[in-house]
Amino acid sequence: MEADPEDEALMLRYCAGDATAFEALYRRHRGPVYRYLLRQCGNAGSAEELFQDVWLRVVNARIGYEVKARFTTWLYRIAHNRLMDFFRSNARARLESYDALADGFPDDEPLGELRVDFDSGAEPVEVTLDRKRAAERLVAAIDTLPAAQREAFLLREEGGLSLEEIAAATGVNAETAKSRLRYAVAKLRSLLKECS
Amino acid sequence: MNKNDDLSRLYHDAVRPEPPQALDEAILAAARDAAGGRPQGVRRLANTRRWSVPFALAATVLLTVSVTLMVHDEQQVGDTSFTIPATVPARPDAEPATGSAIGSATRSAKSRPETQAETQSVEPLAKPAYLPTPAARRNTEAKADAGAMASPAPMTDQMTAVLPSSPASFARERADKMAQPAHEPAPAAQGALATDATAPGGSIKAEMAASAPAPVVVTPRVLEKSRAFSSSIRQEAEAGNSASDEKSPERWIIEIRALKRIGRTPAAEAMLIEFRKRFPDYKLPDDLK
Repeated sequence: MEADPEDEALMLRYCAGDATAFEALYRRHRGPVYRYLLRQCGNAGSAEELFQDVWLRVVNARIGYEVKARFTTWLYRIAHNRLMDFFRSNARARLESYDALADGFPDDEPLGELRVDFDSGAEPVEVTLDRKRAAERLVAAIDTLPAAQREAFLLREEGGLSLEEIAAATGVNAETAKSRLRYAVAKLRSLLKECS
Repeated sequence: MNKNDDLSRLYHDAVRPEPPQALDEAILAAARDAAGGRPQGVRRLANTRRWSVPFALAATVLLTVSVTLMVHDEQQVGDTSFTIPATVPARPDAEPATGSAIGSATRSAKSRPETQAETQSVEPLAKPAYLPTPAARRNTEAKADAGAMASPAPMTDQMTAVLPSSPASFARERADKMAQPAHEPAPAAQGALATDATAPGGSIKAEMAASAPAPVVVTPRVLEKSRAFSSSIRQEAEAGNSASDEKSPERWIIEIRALKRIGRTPAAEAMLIEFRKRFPDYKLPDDLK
């Protein structure tokens, strides 16, 4: 996945005082960030609060902003940190679950078993399920994922982050991010298969 | 990850919630405020508005100061001219050369034959346009008398109403006086003779002078009377009010004479009555009997 210099350019323009650059940046990322937060925290009210905090942090971070990584990575890193704060203050149980599950998946777990799951579907999902209903089921399945796996999946699907970027955004190493993502995908396929 | 493309497509086919519009507006507004990021035109307009108030204040202050100074100057000129031409020239040929208002004022004064006739007689000073309080008048006259002690041509405030307003007009007036033997050649009073209407500032308030109750005519005798009266007043002031009861009869006589000379006959008579009460045995001079 290639870096998108346009995001960084827009942010630099905003740092120079061009509010229209921020608006373009915001229009581009508002939906994915919101859905990432919504699916992670579970309710719209909290998601909106977190969403606003994230963007206000972006606004406040305009002073001293430097392009050290992709803007999207930086943005989701902010969102992740804000989400962790939220979990610590409002959803202690969910945070514990996040930590436990994150620690519970060995980074060096062989993927062979997971591949069995991936390949076990004899019938493509889009063939056996109505697409609309399948999508709804997928969203419902995502909610059942452990928080760390769900986050990895959402960061890839919503943010378009690579494994390295997911690792950077969530503060883990690349192997951990890769493991979480694979487990998430395997579980989703499994859940979808069960539903079908 | 190609094996996950189907899952990815399925995920993106799901309902995709968006943040509320109000949240968008709030965040964008906050971003604009933080960056000061208004459109350039609006920013320029804001700059114009920012400077409009100081400019307006500065213009107001400048205008106020200008008007104040102008009014102040006008008042000074008005005060000067108000005290200058309020008299009729003592000479019939002193027709003003400038200003129809001066001419009319002069003509109105000429229409009073007694005015000219009394130029050589003891004539009480005409009332000024404004009447100072007795205390102020006394103070003024005392000051005038003090000036008379130091000047060869003593003047009172009342006399300043007829003084020429410039040395040139004074010299011209004096030359005219020298050419007219009908008038008394009192050198000390030459400067107090008729006003030169051509003097600077003399025409500004001529209309006001024309409407004055009575023009002031000053003759050397009037000057002498005034000086004597001022001198007596000054002496009285020096002696103090508490000491007025201890005045000598001669002092009373001097003051009564002074009052009579300047035309304050009722006051002189009242003072004479008081004098008779105090000094019943004193033999009055013939002029006061």
